[in-house]
Amino acid sequence: MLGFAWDRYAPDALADCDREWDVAIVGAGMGGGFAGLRLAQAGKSVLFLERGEAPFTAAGGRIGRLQRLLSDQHRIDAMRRRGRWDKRVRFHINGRHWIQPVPVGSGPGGSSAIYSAAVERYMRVDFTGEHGAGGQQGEMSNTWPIAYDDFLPYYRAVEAMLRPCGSPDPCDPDDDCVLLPPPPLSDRDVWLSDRFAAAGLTPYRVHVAVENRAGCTQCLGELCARLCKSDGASRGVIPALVNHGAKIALRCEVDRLELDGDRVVGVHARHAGNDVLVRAKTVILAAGAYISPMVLLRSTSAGHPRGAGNDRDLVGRGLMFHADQIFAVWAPRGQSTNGPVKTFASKQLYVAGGQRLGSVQALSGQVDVVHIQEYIRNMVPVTTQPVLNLAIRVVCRLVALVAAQIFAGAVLFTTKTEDYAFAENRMVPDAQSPGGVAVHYRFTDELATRARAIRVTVRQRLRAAGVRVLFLSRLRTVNFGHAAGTCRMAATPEAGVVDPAGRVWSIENLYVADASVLPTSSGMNPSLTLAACALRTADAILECERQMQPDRAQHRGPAADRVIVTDDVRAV
Amino acid sequence: MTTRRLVITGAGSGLGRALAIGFAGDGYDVFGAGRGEAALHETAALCLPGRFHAQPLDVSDDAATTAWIAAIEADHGPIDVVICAAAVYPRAHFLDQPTAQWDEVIRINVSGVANVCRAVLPGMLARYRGRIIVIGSLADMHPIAGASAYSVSKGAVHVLTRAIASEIDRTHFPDVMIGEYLPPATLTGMNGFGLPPEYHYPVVKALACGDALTYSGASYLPQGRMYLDPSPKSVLRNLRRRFLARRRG
Repeated sequence: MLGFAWDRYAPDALADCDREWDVAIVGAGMGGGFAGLRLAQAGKSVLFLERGEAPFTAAGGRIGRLQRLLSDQHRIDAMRRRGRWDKRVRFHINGRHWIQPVPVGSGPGGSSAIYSAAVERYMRVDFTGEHGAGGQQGEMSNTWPIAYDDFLPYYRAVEAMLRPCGSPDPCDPDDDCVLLPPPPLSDRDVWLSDRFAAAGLTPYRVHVAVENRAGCTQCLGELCARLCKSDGASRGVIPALVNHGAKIALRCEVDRLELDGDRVVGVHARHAGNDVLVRAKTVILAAGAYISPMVLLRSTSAGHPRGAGNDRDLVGRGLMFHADQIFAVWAPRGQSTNGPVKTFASKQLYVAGGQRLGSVQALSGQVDVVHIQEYIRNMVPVTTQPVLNLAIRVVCRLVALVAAQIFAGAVLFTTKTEDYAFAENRMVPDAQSPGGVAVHYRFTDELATRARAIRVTVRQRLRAAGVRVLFLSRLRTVNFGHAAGTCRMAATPEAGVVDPAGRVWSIENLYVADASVLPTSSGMNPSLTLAACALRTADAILECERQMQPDRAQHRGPAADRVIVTDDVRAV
Repeated sequence: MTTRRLVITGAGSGLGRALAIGFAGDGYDVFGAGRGEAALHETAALCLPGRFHAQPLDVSDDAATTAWIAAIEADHGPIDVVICAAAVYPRAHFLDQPTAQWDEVIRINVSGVANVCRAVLPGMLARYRGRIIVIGSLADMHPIAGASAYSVSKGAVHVLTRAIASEIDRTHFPDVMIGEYLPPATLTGMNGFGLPPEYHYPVVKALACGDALTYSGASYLPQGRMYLDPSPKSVLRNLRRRFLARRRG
């Protein structure tokens, strides 16, 4: 994406109130990108409103050396340069309160442009509502309002666009993903894979949406300079811009939606220092699970005094994270480590002993000082005291140096345990900082039990198979990058914010297409599923329009099972 | 794994020829390119028989360079080391130099290096192993009067070396390295005085096949000393990297 001429695809005049777009999409990430591409392919005029900046362009302010040591602005600028969301979130978890940045992307492609391109399907069991937290107080339904078989064509359609490489998962009989051959494992990873198999964990190669172009430097975890990684930008937004006439307004922060009765007529945004009202026939919110509910809550009107879609006080509720536990394993020294990262995963313990324990997956993060330091730094709350910040940095650095010695030869894996939705786990506007997000979350004992179960099982089995294992995360650790469910999808307006097509109940032309619609978190990475949801939402918008205008029925948009979309942009 | 196949550009004369003779004599398979076919055959005649494979080629021709590298890898096997020694050194006053000649210097001395690197790096990265040694010059720091184009081109090669090194992830590809060698004045077709070209063979061999290339992107002088000493910060970083380097196969 380095050098892509984003400016060429900027709308001529955003503040032009006479222009009414067919579709305005808030957020150009994985969900927005694929919904936008599908709609643009069908001939709609599509405008992406993206808060972030063009990749590799964000410039920090000039800052002195001493100032850089003491201030935190330097760190925020660095995050922006690396495509990260620079806002901090206020957390209230199990009685503790703190503020910290979350590992979420900002800019075209959103998180998908940065993180490791694992595009894994949910399993059939995720759709059926089995298991669950046992009907605890405030527990929300964990059943999908869509049947797995009806959803499968959308998985296939997104996979056809992303073209992942990997190997089929023997634990998932429904896995018919068309996979490219993955790059060969290093000798060390072959050994580890054999050990996992000996431990009865049935490893398979993670479905990674990376093209592995000649000279691929395995930049998983960072912005890709070469369009080699399949993400919301490279396979969604950019084809929509280049091939289908869509437009993108960068550095455009959406404040709220303008409602007229039960319709959205426009989007209030701040762009280039001006407040603008973008008018659109249809609006899709795809700003991520942190921001989409905030936009809905801010969009109050006479008919919807508690915010758009919030008549039943459900927006922001049902927040789910994954309980991620990182562990290190060591292979005997002397084996070649020349091979890809994000190597293999296992779903053997996905459902075990009548409960959902989750999956095990290789991490792509490299065990070096910089990454360890960033990891530790993100665990420590940020203060407003410059000297204290400096002290924290120094301590983190020292700890990271020591840790890097210990983990020099280690390989990192993570377990992902499904989180169930509870009404009191929610996101609300942060009262103390305007525009900010506050998270109220309770890590239930039930989740801790399952997290402990997978930890103990994995540790025991791998040790029995002769692998040295060390769990690094505390038990009650969640992945703030995998927030989901804050505008949950449900079959009835009493149970969720959006209908099975992604349309906000009670608002005619407002849709949500990001991780916030997911009714379950599953034990897998969310990006493929939310992209499939977004594609389904786009099809629903086209279908809805056909019904409104039956005379134009011959102009049929693509249907997921008929059209395999390979919209390629090679030369940018 | 040991080094077996080398590519040397500019093998028809001067330093390139001396290196080809040296490497061929030590039992390496040397693939030499040059613009003059006759000069290449002369080099082949001086080398250990059967070790030198000549290919008339202008490195400023990107398509031909790529095809040549692809043909070597297909017919003989992976390339372990590339030595970019092809360069031209026309003497002309800046104001009197024809534009075409200026362009040719830049094309051969700078784009030629880039073309070769672009052709070999994907394979080296796929194998996690390989080295590129660029023959540079100190002419950029002390431009030679009457050789402005050459001085500019050698300054550019300096930067190109470091730029390519900066795009190769050091943690993931610790064994794919690029370095520059800066020979002092040498008695070749370019120069009527200086060290004999054979003098440089052991130094370049240590960089290409030995342990002398310690920092990717760095430039080395004959004594094995690094030119433009790295900053203390990068020394620390490299020390740490060597200390913590993942075990290689």
